[in-house]
This record gives sequence, C-alpha cells and structure tokens, in this order.
Amino acid sequence: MLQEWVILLVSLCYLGILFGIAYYADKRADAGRSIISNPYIYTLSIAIYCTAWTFYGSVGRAASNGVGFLPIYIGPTIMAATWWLVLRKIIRIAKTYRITSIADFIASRYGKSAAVSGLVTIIAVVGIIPYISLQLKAISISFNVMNYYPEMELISSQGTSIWNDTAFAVTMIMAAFSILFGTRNIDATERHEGMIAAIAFESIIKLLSFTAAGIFITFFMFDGPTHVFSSIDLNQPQPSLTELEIMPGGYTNWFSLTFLAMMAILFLPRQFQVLVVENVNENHVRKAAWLFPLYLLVINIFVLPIAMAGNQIFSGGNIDPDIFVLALPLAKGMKTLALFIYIGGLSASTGMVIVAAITLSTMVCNDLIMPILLRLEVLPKEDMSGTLLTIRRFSILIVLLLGYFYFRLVGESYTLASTGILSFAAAAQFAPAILLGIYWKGANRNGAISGLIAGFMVWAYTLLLPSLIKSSWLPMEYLTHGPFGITLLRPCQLFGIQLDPVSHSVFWSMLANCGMIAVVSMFSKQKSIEHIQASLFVNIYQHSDGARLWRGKAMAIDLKKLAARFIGLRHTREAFISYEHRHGIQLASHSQADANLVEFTERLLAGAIGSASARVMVSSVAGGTEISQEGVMRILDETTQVIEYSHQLEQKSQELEAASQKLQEANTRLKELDKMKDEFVSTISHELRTPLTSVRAFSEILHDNPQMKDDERKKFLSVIVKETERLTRLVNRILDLAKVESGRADWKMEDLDIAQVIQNAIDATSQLFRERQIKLNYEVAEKPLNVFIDQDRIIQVLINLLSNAVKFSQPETGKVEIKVEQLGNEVIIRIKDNGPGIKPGEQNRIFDKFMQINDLEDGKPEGTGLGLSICRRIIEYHNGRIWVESIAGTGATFIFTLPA
Amino acid sequence: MIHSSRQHSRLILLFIVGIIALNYPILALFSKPTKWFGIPILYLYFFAFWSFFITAMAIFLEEKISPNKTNMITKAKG
Repeated sequence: MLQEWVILLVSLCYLGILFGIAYYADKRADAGRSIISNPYIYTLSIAIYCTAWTFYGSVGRAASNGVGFLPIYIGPTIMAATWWLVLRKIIRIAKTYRITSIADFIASRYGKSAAVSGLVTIIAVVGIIPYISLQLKAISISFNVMNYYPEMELISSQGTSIWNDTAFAVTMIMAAFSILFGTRNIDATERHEGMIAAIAFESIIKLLSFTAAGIFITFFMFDGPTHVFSSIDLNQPQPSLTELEIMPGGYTNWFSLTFLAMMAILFLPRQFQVLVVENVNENHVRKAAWLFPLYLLVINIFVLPIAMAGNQIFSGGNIDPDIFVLALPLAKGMKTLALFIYIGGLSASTGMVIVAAITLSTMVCNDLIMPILLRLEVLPKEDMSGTLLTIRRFSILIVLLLGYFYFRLVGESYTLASTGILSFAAAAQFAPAILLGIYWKGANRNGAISGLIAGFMVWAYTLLLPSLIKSSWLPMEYLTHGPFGITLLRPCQLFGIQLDPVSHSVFWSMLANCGMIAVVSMFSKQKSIEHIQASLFVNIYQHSDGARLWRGKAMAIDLKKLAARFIGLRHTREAFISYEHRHGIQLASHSQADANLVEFTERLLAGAIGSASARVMVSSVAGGTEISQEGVMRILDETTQVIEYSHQLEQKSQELEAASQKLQEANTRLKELDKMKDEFVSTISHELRTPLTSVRAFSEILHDNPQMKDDERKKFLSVIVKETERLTRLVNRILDLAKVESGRADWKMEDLDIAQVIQNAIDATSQLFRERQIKLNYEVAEKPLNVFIDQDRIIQVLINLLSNAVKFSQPETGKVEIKVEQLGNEVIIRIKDNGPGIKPGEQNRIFDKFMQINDLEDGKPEGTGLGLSICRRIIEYHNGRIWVESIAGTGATFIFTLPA
Repeated sequence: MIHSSRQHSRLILLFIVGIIALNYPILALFSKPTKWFGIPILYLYFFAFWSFFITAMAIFLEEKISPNKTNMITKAKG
C-alpha cells in the first residue's frame, strides 16, 4: 500500500508537467517555431487512440478471450493502408475550408446546415459519454488499487456517496484541467498546438510504462513468454485461450469489431480532431500511416503475456483482470514500478478525456449552441469571445459530468472494453455521411440527416438501451420479451436475428444509416448551396482555391468589426493586415468588400465558431446574397466535368480549325499547280504544233508536186529536217524540265572546285565561240572555290548561258566575259555579253517557261524557250539564285549564286 | 501521376489483403490449440502478419521517385 498523498502528489505533478509542456508548445507556436510540425509528433498524437481501454482493458479482455482484444488494433492497422488516399482527401478539405470539428465537416459538406451540425454534435456527445465514463472509471480504480492493494475489499466499501467517491473527484479534477488546457483563449485558429504536444508526451509515457510492465512481468516474474504461455492448458475443454472461437460471437464478432475499429480510428470525434483538424501538413500522413500501426503493435505485444501471467497468479478470481497490469507488480512489491505504470494509465486516460472534452465542447459551442443563439439574436453586439469561452467551459463540465453519471449508472456492471465498444459503434454512424459525402456528389442534406438519425436511433435501441437494462435501471422484460411483449422488437434480437450484441447492432444501424442516406438522397432534391458544397468536397483536388460564393455587398469595416466580435481585436487586426499584405492591397475602411474578402472573413470566423455559424454571421453582414440560385446551379452543377468537357471540346475544335486551314492551304496550292499544268500543256501543244505544222506543210507540198525541181525539193527537205531537229530538242527539254520539277531527277551531289566545272563548260562550247568568232574572257578566281553541286547539271546551266551569250552577240565583235568570286558564303558566277541586252520589263519573264524574246532584229530566235527555265530550276535546287542585269543596247549579265 | 496511381493501387491491394488475411476463414487455419516454440500459433500468426503489413506499408509509402526521375519516365512514355 502506498501513501495516498504520495499518489496524489505524483498525479498532480504529472498533470503539472503536461500543463508545462502545453504552455511551452503554445509559446513556441506563437513565436512561429512550432515543435509539433513533424510526422513523429503527429503519429504520437494519433496514439491518443490508445486509452485506458488499451492500457487496462485489453489485458482484461485477453484474460478471458485470448486474442479477442486485437480487432480494436487490427482495424486501424488495415485502415491505415487507405489513409494516404482517404484521410489525405479529408485533410485537404478540412484545411481548405477551415473545418473545426467532425460536426463542422459533415455540416459543411451538406450545405453548411446548422441542423446537421447540431445532430452530429448530439450523436457525438451521447456516443462518447460511455467512453469518457470508461476513462473516469479506470482512473479511479487504478487510484484505489494503488491506495488499497492488497486489501481489495476496502475498495467496494468506498464511493457510497458522491462526496467521498474517488470517481467524482477525478471527474472534477479532469474538468478543471481540461478547462485550463483547452479554453484559455479563443484563437483565430482551430488548432491547439499545446494540447497536441502534451498528448504526444503522454503517448510516449504510456508506451514506456506499459512496455516496462510487460518486460518486468514476462522476463522477471516469469522466464520469458514461453514460460508465461505454458500456463495455457491445451487439453482443457474446447475452445482454449489459443483459439479465436473463445470470443463470444466468434468470427462474426471479430469482423464487426474490426469494422468498428476501422471506422473509429477516423471518425471518433477526438481522432478526427488529431488526425484532421490538428494536422499541420498533409504529407505527415505518409509516415504516420505506418508508424502509428507500429505503435499499436508495440503497445500490444505484452498484452497476452500479462493476461496469462495474471490468470496464473490470481487464479482465485478475486482480482479484476482489468487491473492485472497494476496488480502484478504490486503483488511482487514493486511499488515504484507500479507507480510508473499507474502514471502510464493516468496518461492514457487523461489524454483521451482532455481531447474528447475539448473537442466535444467546441462542437457543442460552435455547432449546437451558437447557431441557436444566432437564430434567437440574443447575443451581445460587442465582444463575444468571452461568451464563447463561457459556453465552452460549461460544455466541458457538462460532458464530463454526463460521463460520470453514466459510470454511476452502468459502469460497475460492464468491463472497460465492452463500454468502449458502445462509443465505437456510435462513432461509426458518421462514416456513411463522411465517406459517401467525399466521393458521391449525390449525397444530400436530407439523406445525411435521415441516415444519421436512423443509425443513431438503432444504435441507441440495440446497444445503449440494453446497457441500461443490464444495469437493472430498466426492467429485464424489455430484453427478454421485447417492448410491450412484441418479441420481434427485442433490442438484441431485432426481427429475430440471432447475433452477438455488437454485430447485431452494427448490422442494423449500418443498414439503416447507409440505406437511408442512399435512398433519401436519390429521391430528394438538393438546394443550390448543398450542390456547391458537394461539388467542392468531392472535387477538392481540382479547386483548392475555394469558390467565390459570396456576392459582396458588405463594407470592409463591417467585416472587420464582425470578426473582432468573435476572435478579438488583436487577432482580427493581424489577420486583416496579413490579408492586405498577401493580396497587395490597402483596405480603405469604407470600401466595398469584394467576394474574396467576404470569403476570407467567413473562413476566419469558421476557424473560431464553425462553418455553419460563420455563414449565418457573414450573411447577416453581407446581406445574404450568396449567389443567384439558377445561375450558379448551371455553372457549378457538375462543375468540373463541364469545365473539363468544354476544355476538351475547345481543344478539339482548335485542332480541327488548324487541320482545316492546312487543308485549305493544300487545296489552294493544288489549284495553282493545276492551273500551271493547264498552262504548261497548252503552251507545249502550241510550241509543238508550230514545227509540226511546217513539217506537215512542206511534206504536203513535196507529196503533191512530184515534178518539183531537185534543188527546190532539197531546200524543202532541209527545212523539214531542221524542224524535226527542233521538235526533238523541244521534246528533250520538256522531258528534262518535267524531271527536274517533279524531283525525279537523279542528283549526284559532290564537292567540286567551281573553276574546274566552268572550264569543262567552256571546253564544251569552244566550237560555238570559234564558229562565230566571239572572244571569251575567263577570269579565274585566285583560290579554288569549292561548292557542293551536281556537276552535270551546273555544266548544263553554264552551257545554256554561254550559248545564249554567243547567240545574242554579234559575230566577230562579240565579247563574252566569265567572272567568278566569293562574297560572304556565296560563290557568284557572272556571264557577261555585249549583245543587244534585255529590256527591264522582260528581265524577270525570261526565266518563265516558253518565254522568248521575240522582237529581235533577225526575227524568230532559235531555241525552245525552256533553257532558262530549266537553269532556274537547277540553281534553285542548289539553294542558289539566278537573275539577269542588263541595260538595253549594252549587253546583258547573267548572274547566279551557289552556296559556298 | 504514373507513380502515384501505382502507389495508390498497391495500398488498396494491401488493404484488401489485410481484410482477407485477418478474417474468417484464413484465421481458422491458425485457430488451434497448438504451440510453436512454446507460443500459441494464433498469437504468432497475428504478430507476424501485423509486422509484415506494417513493413509493406512503410515500403510502399516511403518509396519516392525524385521529380527528375518522374519527368524522365513521363518523357520516355511520351
């Protein structure tokens, strides 16, 4: 037996340390250097899941059910695999819309409805009361055990009236502590850094002390786990403690408990608080998703050994298995260790009580009382933060007192674990509204309300009511024969279904809840605000920017005043200054507030009083014109799909337009080509007909006049020969041109010195120059100029130009010059003659097909009219240019370039 | 995106594996009055599977592809 004052002193010191840690963390947070912003603290804060239920209750359950305690920890482990998908989405939503609690979340999803938030709050409070009572019971029992062990019969003589009841004292201390902890001031933020730091510390303490107990019992009182487990009698009548069948309800119960734990880890109000609301960075989920299950694994390793050890040592059955973990070290006289374990149990319970009380009080204040007060318009016009604090403090006290009374009502007749299950089943009622709400836009307010009410009623009828009946506060008749003797309505065998009580309740309540939410949602209409919120929640990843739903009519100063009423002048000023800073604007006090500012104020308020109340308040100032119903419906109804769809359409039509433009271009080009071809054909036919006509005419004359003179006949025949030669040349040229134009010509490109090529061309035409006695002057370049060309083609060009020059120069006086030079990256070749020259108007046209200069003095020129055209094609193919410079009467210079 | 959707499907697969492995009838395989190394096999199975589950989750969640590498993969696919 320890001195009572020692235990009290240690307990109060421990609470003092917690308070110190919270105070320090708050200070650091105010200074902007948060100590909780890391995944490890986040994980430890989630470990608030492990309460006195884990610390004492698991052993109690294991002692009689073997692995029956495990679903409570297996469920969250399995669920953690979905955190990165589901929880992250919830966190993103909550952060974007500054959600303050689970009631706020659900209400916000279903059109910021005050009815929904109030309903959720009531379910949460009623549902969590058994859980709080469990903690109070655990604290008072552990205190009494520490105080009276081994004279356990003294405990039962305690607590006959409230005034000397340990549990009541514990309740009052817890209430005082929670009030000090959670409601020191109203922050502009929904997060409580100090509280998180303190519960993270508590999570370390409870893990260490439970593990210490486990190691001591397993390895010091016994010789390791093998020794402990040797006590299990494998030959006893089936089933033994090593089998799952020993659980009442067997595998069905196992499944139901796992399911409840999966839901509870996310949707117990305090879990939602630490997981979602207090989350600093959604990336912390990545580590927490596997570290938290690891924490659960570690804290559970010694549960079975401790339970089996207790079964062995206290085989008489006079010690409640729920306190084995404390009683075993005490039985060995290890008082210091026992004290440490007691502190661990205390931290497990206080953490839960504090967070649950603060969470519930925030909900009661923001989501239940405030909306009512706002409707009644009984609030003072001036500073409201004092009113808010008072409401919260009273809420904490009331919640804890309710927990205490529940404990007085039923606590004695239930084990710790079975009391906790009751709360788990209540928390699971939030699952359909939230999970359907974030993935199914169709879920609406009416559906959510019906589902919540139906699920809650069934839960109360099938689990809560029996717990009251079994504690003999109501006649047993209800359970055995049903209300008014209607056996179909027996609370634990509803409609005659035979299941263990938990599976039975889970089945019916989930059926009612999911069924109502689905069916009512499908058959009732959404209001526009619900529609918008549904869209915003489901598509959170698309628009985290928030929607601008307010059509501002408010003055900036009014909004400022409004905010100051709830969060105080200083916080408001700071918030508005940071807003101005962020948007780079200066808010004149009488300027009209834009939608952004109204939205900002609403979120600011939502952080303090919840979204439903914030909306009411802001609309009171902003005139309540959220948006025209039909207009926004049309825009926001299926927002993203429509936007996405129209975006795709736009893209498609752009692509189409581009394609059709290309087609049009191609078409124009084709038409041009067609026209050119027509022209070409008609010109060619004309050109071919001329020699053909003369050939035919002369042939006919020869044919019709057989007695023609010989010399005359000879003359005619020579004309025919000449004309056919001309015809052949023409056809060859046409073939050549066609080849070059169609790109079917074979090009043999090589690197050559242009001087050599020119020399070849000169050699080929030297006969012509000699015949007409025309001088040729070739200025060779100083150094070799290499060009990448098809030699034959360039020679063809040169021959063409040279023979043209010869053709148009006067015999004997004629003079042709060739000059080669490099200019920049081009090689320029000039061929100059002193013929009659070309008129400016014809200088360009001579390169066209069949263009011949007609007005020469000696009549019809020789040649086909295709030569220069082919030259141009060849030079263009080499990426060069060709043109002529000429002054009529002084000769012409043909110039072409080739890239060097 | 390729990376994250693969991560998501792995986690969902793990979730399903967890539900199956920790329920009837798989559990019935180990629910026997037998001990291995002096420890009931049902207890061994739970803690072994639990450890496996946590390890798998840690591997899936902590595996990161650097932004550069992601780009390269996307480019290669594109």
